[in-house]
Amino acid sequence: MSYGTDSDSDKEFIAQAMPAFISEAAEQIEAIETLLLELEEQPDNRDLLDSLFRCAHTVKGSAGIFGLNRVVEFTHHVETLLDKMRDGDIALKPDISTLLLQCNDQIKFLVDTAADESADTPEQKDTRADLVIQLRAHTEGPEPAVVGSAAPTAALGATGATVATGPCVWSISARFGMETFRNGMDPLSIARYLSGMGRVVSVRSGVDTVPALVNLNPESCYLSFAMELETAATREDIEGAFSFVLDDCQFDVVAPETQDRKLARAIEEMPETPRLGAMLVSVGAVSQDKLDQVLSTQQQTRGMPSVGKPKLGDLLEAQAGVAPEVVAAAVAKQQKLRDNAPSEERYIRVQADRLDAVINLLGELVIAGAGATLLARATHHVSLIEANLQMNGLIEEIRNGTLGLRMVPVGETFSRFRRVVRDTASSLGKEVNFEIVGGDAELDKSMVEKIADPLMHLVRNSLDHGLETPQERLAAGKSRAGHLTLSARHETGAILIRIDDDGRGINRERVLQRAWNRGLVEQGVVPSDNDINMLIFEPGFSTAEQVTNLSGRGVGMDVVRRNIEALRGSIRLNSHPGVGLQVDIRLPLTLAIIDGFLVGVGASKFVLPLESVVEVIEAADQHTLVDASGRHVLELRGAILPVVRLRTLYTIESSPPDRVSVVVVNSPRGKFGIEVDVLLGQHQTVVKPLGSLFKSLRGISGSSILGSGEVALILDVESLGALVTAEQQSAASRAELPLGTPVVQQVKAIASV
Amino acid sequence: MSSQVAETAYTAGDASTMQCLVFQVGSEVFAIEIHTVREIIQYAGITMVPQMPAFVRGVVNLRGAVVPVIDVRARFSGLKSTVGKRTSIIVIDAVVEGGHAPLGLLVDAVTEVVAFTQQNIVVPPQFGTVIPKDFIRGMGKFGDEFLPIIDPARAFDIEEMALLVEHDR
Amino acid sequence: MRAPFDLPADLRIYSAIDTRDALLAWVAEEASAGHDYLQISARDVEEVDGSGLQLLAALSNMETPWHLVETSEPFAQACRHMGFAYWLDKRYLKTQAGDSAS
Repeated sequence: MSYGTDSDSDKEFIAQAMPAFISEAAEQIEAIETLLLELEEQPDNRDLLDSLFRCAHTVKGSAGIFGLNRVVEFTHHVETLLDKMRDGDIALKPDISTLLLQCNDQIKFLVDTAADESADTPEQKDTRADLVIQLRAHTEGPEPAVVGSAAPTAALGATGATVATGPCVWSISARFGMETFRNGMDPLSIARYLSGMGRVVSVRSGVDTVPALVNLNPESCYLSFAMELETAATREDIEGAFSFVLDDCQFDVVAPETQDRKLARAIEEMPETPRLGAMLVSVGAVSQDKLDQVLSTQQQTRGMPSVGKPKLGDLLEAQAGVAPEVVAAAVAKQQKLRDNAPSEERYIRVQADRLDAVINLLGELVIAGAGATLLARATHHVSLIEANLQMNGLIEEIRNGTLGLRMVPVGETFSRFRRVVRDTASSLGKEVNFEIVGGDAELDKSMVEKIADPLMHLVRNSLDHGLETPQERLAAGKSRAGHLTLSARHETGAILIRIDDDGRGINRERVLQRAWNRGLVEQGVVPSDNDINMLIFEPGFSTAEQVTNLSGRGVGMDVVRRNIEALRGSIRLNSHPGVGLQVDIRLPLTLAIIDGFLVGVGASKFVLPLESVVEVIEAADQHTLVDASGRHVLELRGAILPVVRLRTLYTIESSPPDRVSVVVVNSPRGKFGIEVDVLLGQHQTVVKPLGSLFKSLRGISGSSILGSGEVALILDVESLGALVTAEQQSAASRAELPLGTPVVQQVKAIASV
Repeated sequence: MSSQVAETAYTAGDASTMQCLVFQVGSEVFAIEIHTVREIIQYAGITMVPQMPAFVRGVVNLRGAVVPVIDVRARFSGLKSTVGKRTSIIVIDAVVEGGHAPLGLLVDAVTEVVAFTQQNIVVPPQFGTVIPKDFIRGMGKFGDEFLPIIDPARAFDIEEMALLVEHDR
Repeated sequence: MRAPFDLPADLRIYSAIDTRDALLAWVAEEASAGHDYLQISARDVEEVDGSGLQLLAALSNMETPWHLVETSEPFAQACRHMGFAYWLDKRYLKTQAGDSAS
């Protein structure tokens, strides 16, 4: 049967499908890297190894469909090594781990340039050839001693020089995919080809997988076979028989001494089949008849109270000759399923813009619901109001679920950094313990993507400038290896990401000197410690020398800060010279439907995040005081809190009401009060960002559409608090009181002036 | 006469006419290419955003989207416009980082749609235009007069306006 | 004397649909004739591929059992390669020179 050349429609299909292949392959490649790094920590973890193999196999398979021979060939070599690792013939040592990481990079290069042959430079070809040599060096090393005379010791073929010390019996099973015939392939040819490689000990085709003739689509393929082949050929050669049906066909080539291991593996890879016996039968570890026999034995003994009920697994081992290893795997699988931990999480790929459309509609639904509630209340119709409440409750549930769809754990992005840290530290001759904390914290997908680069830059910065070499550290009385922690946690309405290192911290003298040299600060002027630290974010601060290959590349710290501010976030530095540096990045969770508290000032309405609201004081006049500088403060159970008057802050023109109210809120800087005209109650609201036109606006973090259709502005408690503190500080300095003097004393002092 | 230059400023591509929306701002008349216009809404209340310069009138709710509204008169002349019976908001597709976003333009009236042929569009004069020359794509012949055809990407450049907002404070 | 179903000379993907239809029709006839087993002849088969064998595998999943009464060399070889050697059952097959059912 001839394997036809691609027709035009095939070529078109391939061109269209290529981007999807590249993106899916990219995911696999990323997963490979993560798995490799995890394996370094847990070299004996079988699951990781299996997942690793599967990823590589998937890439190879898909590349096969697209005829991307370079990818297929190269990945095949990698797979060979991975397979040996799976069989336990090769252990994962650091040099192999490094080799595999480099190979993964090469695979990435090959996939990225899949569409463009010309991108494959001679240097890349050399690199690739070198990697293949290294891979082969490992896979063609001396075979470990294996029990049993049938052990294959064939060295895997270098070109033509296959040294076989004897044929052995391979178990080959294949299940062909439905499209096999349509893709121009024929399982019979493959079977024939295999039989030509040696002596077929046995071959059997399955009939169970084929539909009855009346239901059969003759052009679809439902064939499968299991073959035992005695051959001196290498695994590569055997698998080569399937190279044209890589994606269509599920096949397995097993050397006999690992038969049990193969069964054990097959069990591990199975989808849920909780019954122990069924699992073993379906992988062929035991026949149905034998199982039935054993089960009836089990049944019989059950009736005897003095004898403890024998475990099925034990019986199968003892009576049906199932290897203990296989039984153990089945039992483990059962346990896993019982524990309800999904052995593989299932995902669906969803187009991001479709999800956005749904979320927008959901937002409108929330607003419409709020509008309906208002109208229902106005009718005073009890059952209508109740029906509305029920509806709003459901809407809230949908909202919680849907918003969650866009959220991804930051840990996924953080994990990418492991590789960078590893390679960077290594190339700098530094030793680093890298820890990720709070990877479960979730952030909107788009934000996570935008935060990745700035974070990477900051991490590199820590490695490059912050952490010292082992010698320097020891000399300083520190541990040999530096510590770098990337952590994430939620705060009210925001997420806090922290990069913490125990390096040298920021060298303020040098920073100040440079700032003077570059005219960023007037010569001779010494700003506060914090201000000096923040100078590193000024554009024009980093120089060519400063910008090393690692942390530079034209991406300065000023760009980092700008990127973070573009997300309406903020960045703060906490540096202890000689001890370390903490970089805190605070990002608001802007994409949300939040629970808010609605207030009115004049004709304008504002929303406060409900989680910040501590208490409300209606008709607060008796509590508010005015200090001698005219600043409003609030006396609350003995404490004096500063008060922000929205009316004044936002110059709202309209006559003030007779009585004002105050909402007491909690901010990272402490409690303060917000004076408003009216309190309008709790209100669920969709947060709509205001757009880049308003990015310099302080005190407002977004807008929201009320049920009435009006737009209300959402107050940003943290920056409002900053305004208040600034006021406090300037009032205090005016009164010449030391900073940090408790407010009460400040007010009294001011009042007494 | 302002522009004797017969050069056409508008390179049509395929279309030989440019469809434009004509609108009034104060006593001046302008035009804007219709393909950037998403819709025209009547003025029905705008939410004021505090601490903004005069040309940022506020935001408006457009079927669930919060759209900023630029006071075109204030943008062009610094004078705030007063709301009248025919005050409208032209919603255009403005270019923002990563794509497009709606932007509202507060004008005193929207009068008509006009199709300018290629020959009827000329290069704006070096000086003497009521608004900066950069804001104008070309001058469209409209009866005896020439109307400035606004280039929204320049006249309402979000980045530029954001900078103005920042420095205004 | 009933006639077995004669598989065509070309038992490959190109004729798979036609062969399936013919076979199904014949099965229906045999059923209405009340026969409780089916007889298939591969005497004429010259070219075979997986799809052809698949038809017979599918036939195995129908209600009425079938067996092969005659075979050709190409067909027999294909059965052996693919793992359907058990279809070459000596009890039913007319023996032919050079044919060795496993």
